[in-house]
Amino acid sequence: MILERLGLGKRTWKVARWEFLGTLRNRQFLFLTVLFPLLLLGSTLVTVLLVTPGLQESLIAFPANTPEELETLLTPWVEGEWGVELDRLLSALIAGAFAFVFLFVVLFSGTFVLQNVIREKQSRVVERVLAALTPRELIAGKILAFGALGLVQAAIWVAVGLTFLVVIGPYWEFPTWPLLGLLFSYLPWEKLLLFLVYFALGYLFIASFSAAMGSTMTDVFSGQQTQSLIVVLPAVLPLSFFPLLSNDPQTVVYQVLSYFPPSIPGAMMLRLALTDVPLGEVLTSLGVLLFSTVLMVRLAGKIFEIGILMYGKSLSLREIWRWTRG
Amino acid sequence: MAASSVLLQVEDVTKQFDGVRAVDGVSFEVRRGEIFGLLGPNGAGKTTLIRMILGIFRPDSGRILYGGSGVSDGPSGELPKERIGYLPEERGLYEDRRVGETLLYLAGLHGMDARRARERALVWLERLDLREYYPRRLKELSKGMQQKVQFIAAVLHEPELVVLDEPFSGLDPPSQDLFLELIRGLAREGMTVLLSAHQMNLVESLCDRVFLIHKGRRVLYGDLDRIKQDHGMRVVQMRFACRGPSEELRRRIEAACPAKILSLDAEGAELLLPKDVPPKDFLQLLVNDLMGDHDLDLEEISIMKPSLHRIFVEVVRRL
Repeated sequence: MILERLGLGKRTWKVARWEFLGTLRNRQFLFLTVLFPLLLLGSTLVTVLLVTPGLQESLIAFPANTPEELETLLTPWVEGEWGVELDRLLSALIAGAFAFVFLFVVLFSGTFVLQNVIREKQSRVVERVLAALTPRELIAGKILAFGALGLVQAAIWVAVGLTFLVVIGPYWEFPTWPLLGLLFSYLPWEKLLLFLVYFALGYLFIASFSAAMGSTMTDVFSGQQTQSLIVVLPAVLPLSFFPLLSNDPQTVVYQVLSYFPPSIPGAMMLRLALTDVPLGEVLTSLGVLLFSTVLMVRLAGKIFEIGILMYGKSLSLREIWRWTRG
Repeated sequence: MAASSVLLQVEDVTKQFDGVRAVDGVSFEVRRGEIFGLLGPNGAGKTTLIRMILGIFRPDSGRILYGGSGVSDGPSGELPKERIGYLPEERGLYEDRRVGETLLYLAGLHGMDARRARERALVWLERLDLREYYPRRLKELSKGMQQKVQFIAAVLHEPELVVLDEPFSGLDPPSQDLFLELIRGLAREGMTVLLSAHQMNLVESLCDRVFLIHKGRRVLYGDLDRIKQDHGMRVVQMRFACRGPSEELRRRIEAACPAKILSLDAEGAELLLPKDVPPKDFLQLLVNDLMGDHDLDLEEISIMKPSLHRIFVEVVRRL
């Protein structure tokens, strides 16, 4: 078992289970998870229907009963309207969607870890827990729990979205099932597999960082102020420059972001979605990410160990720097 | 003392923070089944010492051995966490979680299986009149109830050694009595208790042996009765009517014997007799020298061994 070789064991699972179930049963969490995508979909739909009255006609302009029929109908249309081949467009769309979902999971789960650590420190429960397990086991349990929660959350969003499509589709005579079949047949498996690696490492990086930062803060309020800086920055940096990338897949901005550890996952996933990135660059970025993640996990452990029991003051960067060398 | 009777051994342990020695060359041992008091004023280094015993901090130097052997050279972090219970000074539990599940979770982290933990939790909650709060969220409980739940969380998993850091701080007097009784109960059940406190008078009756710490260093250590005997001081309390000026009386006492005057006015006095002045001699002196030709009517007198707190203050003063 990998966990046990890292010095983590049964107790890590117990922490993970406790945090996972506890948050899952939290009404606020459920509310956000289910209602958020519904509201988003609903408002998007209303806007789209109001703004583009012709949309309904164009949607049902492709009466197809099978994915193959739909493909035959779509191919000339896509090439005419967009100037690209259908398979490229579809795989970019799918990969892009996955990249967004993964980035959001990193963003949400990282925030969860941060707030959870701050709350645990604030309520003083952490010292009691540390009598039963090591800081490593505690952080690992939390990171696992909130990573899993993030994925569950994402799965619920996707499920809500698909259900929405399936329920609404027939009213518009929209070819829901053929479209889903077509999308599925164009799933870019290798890319998605690679995404999973970027996601796992990227999340581990951000979550460790969040746990460390959380341990040095005194309350949830100071957490909220800084959390945008901590969690949002790396994940959002590639997203916020997205227009640059869609204009020019080779843009220098993304080349740079591909080597800045916190934003590697975002930058690389989006690049991979839109273009073919040379294998060498993929491997280099993975190497840099792996190295910096290992470094971050170690650093975070040290900071957490000291920070979590310092009550009554938030720590300056200078003090944190001193500990990590100690 | 046979090696097997020593449960915990602290050997020349030092820890400093930012150049300040919080704990400085401390050594002591805790024996199986005893109630051991780690006493000293706030900021003396008690919590730091306790955190090192629990493996939360690593000592800068020195060793902490558990069970008398076995862990001899390992870092102190290798303590058997399943067999230790802890009530931190800064305590809290998960506000939004239910009392029962929280107790089961913490006991589970210490390796106790869920069914046994549940049985024990119900017994403990029953004992402390909290049975109906098992399914309630912690934040619905009053502060006093939460303190009881925190205490249960420290002992539920039947630890061999229970470490209680300032268990009486923040308790009202009835709860203090309850906790005193609970801690005696733990020892009766065979657990070894290591507790820290700054209210020495409160725990004096509770502890078998004590370690008194001040500014990170040992002040006194050992069997409580023995410490009192070794220090041999006596506290004399008198109530009297003094018709002369009390300054005159003070001068006469100072001249007559080496007792230290703790307080003195026209109605009474409190003195500290050093070891080399036996009570008998003092009484003689009192009758012959002080009461004889002076206008002093004695109403009450008591001569007692001093409290631990008094001894502590005296020893620290002499350091």
